[in-house]
Amino acid sequence: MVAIVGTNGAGKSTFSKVICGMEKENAGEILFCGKNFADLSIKERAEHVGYVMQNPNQMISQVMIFDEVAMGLRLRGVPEDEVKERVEKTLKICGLYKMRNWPVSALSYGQKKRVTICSILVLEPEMIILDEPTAGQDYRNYTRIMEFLKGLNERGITIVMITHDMHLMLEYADRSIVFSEGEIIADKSCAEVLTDKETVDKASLKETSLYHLALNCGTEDGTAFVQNFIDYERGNVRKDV
Amino acid sequence: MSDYIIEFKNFGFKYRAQAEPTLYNIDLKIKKGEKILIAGPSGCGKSTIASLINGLIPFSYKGEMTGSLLINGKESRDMSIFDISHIVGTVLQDSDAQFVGMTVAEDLAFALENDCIHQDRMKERVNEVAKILDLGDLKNHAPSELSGGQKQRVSVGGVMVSDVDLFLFDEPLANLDPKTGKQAIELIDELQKRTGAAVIIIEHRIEDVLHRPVDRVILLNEGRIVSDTTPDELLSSQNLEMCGVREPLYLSALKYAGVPIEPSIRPASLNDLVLSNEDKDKVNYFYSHVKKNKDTRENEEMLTVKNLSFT
Repeated sequence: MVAIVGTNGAGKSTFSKVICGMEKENAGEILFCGKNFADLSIKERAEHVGYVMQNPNQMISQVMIFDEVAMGLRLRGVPEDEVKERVEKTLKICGLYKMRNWPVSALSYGQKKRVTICSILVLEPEMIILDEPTAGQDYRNYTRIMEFLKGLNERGITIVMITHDMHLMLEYADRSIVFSEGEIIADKSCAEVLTDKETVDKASLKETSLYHLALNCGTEDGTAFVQNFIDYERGNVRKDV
Repeated sequence: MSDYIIEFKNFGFKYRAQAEPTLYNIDLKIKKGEKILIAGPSGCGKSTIASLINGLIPFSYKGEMTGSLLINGKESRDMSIFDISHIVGTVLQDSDAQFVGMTVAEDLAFALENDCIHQDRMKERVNEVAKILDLGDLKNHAPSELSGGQKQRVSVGGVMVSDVDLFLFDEPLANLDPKTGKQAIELIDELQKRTGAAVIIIEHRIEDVLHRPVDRVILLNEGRIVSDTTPDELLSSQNLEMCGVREPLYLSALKYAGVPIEPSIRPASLNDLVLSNEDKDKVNYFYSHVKKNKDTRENEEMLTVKNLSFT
């Protein structure tokens, strides 16, 4: 799981759009599993890389949950019995199976988010890019969404998250890519990024309080302290959630 | 005159469209000039409390009220939304929704125009406020030319012009990046000191709000007040965890290290935190004894981007 971070307007979303083919690059190369992406259309790229927008209301176009998730497959001319099978399977993974015959309007914001992820997942992409997957969610819903994404990651899907949330980065991302004014200024572990004053300032991030605690306690290596905290949480605490 | 700017007495509220009440038996007093954080998970009723204080309930959202709510000593249901707007200034979560003018200066002047303030005085006041909020160079900018943090400062200015006694911030951090969020919390703090007005911040990100001190934290869950106490007391209790609200990360680290969290160590701020040498040793012991995650599987490269540019 990778986090893309940086200020508004730093180029995070634009970068994702270029990857997905919604914008065309001026120069340079995009390779996906060694193959040149430039030759593929938006639709073809979408079969490899799924894109989930920040606001689910901007993505959802169908009235019923089942139809929303089925839309991508139906547009691709997949036979209806296969559509049914794949949609139901994916709805189960997303914990939405019981609600399959509900109208989308009956769902909470977080559940709608899950529907949009589900409708991308059904196309079986190898990678999903999510723009602010937990914006506007409280801690409980945040944990639900993130644990769900972690589960997908464990099934072998690469997860790329565009985020402002320092906690999310620390807890879930293995690596963070920092954008500033259209350039990548860092590509390191989250513990390294969030304890590096220069990067933090340039990208309008915030140093984590863990780092200051470590300094306060005279720990020799603050960055390693943050990393160990993350390892401890992942190994001991998160498992019980 | 009352010492309290806000007084809920055995207050309950049920939205017209809902079967169950959203708030039950709320007793809450907020003194003039006090700085309060109202926290709680989604759906706990914190936004409803905000709407009651700024008059959106009952003027925009209908429902059934029981008990009493006094705003500056007067029963709120006997007041008009116009009366309330002179006492309570709200800064909405979505600053786009709060922008009424075509430019920053027009937006700041909106309330003054409604109050028929003389134009010279209006210009003077707009300039004063713009200066305080560092918006001087942006006065002729349209909302679309502003960043999220700047828009929020304009919203703050828009309520500041009318000398309100209470500033209400509804999730001020929700749409800001971490650094701008930090500045917003600093701005709110300065605002309170400068104006002497009471401040209510509604947020679930406790660690970020406590970047500057608050007098009390009201924790809500399922429509009821769970606790009403100082940040130090709250952080030393189990209540946050019970309500599914995240505690500051440095406190999680201290707990893992086996350092007991008590009001005496002043947990509300990392700067004030009092740790004994023994506590520090515990933290360092924790640090050096964490089992390394073995999950450093070698991943194959999936997406590669080389020298990409786009304008």
